[in-house]
Amino acid sequence: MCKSLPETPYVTLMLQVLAQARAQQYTQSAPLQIVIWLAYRVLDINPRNAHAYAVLAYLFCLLGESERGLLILKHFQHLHKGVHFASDHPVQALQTLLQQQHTPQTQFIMEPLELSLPPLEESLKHLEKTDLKTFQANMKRGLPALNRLMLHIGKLAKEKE
Amino acid sequence: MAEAPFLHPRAIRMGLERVIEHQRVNLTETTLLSQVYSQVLQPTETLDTALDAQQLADFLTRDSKAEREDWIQSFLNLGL
Repeated sequence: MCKSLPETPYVTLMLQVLAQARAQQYTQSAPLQIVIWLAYRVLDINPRNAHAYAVLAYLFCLLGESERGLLILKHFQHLHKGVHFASDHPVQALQTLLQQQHTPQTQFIMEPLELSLPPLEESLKHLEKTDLKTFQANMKRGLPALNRLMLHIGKLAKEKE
Repeated sequence: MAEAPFLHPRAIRMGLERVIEHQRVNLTETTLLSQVYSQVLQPTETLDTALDAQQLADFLTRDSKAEREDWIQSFLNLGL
């Protein structure tokens, strides 16, 4: 990570708070809420920051929304069309692992993200119109299946070793 | 093409926050996600002192971007 980038302090803090959330076994909501806010703040500063994309995708996977996680990673790659990423690049590594045995559904159509955040009042009005029940149902829907898939892939990786 | 409301970036962020807050939370990190964390996301440094409940609550009660940015800047100036 280049230390001179303006978003670097935010990225560092985002990962540090994520580490705290992980140490608490993801049972406390507050640090995770801060991580999410920081991820979007990082994207506000630099819409192409790989760590923010990877963290958001990772959070979606923790929630059982790996399809949405993959869409986030695909959006990152869309922003970098023609660029070859090394296999250990954060986005590339996560996408490769997720795609090994998972084909994303196509019902979610992702327009390029509008990363310049609108005013809060406008966003709150927008959010009021959003069907949060469906959103939450979507969030919970795939968790058991994803857990099984992840455990299975983890076993395969160990067998290869 | 009209963007589905729940795909709006702000809605996704706030929806994610609400889901996580609503579930109060018990997420499962699998073997693979643990691997991703350790190989891809592992921070090079951890916080000297973990954020305490009061600090976390203070951040979350700030409901504007500017107020939260103030909190971040204060924290960065103190801690990094």
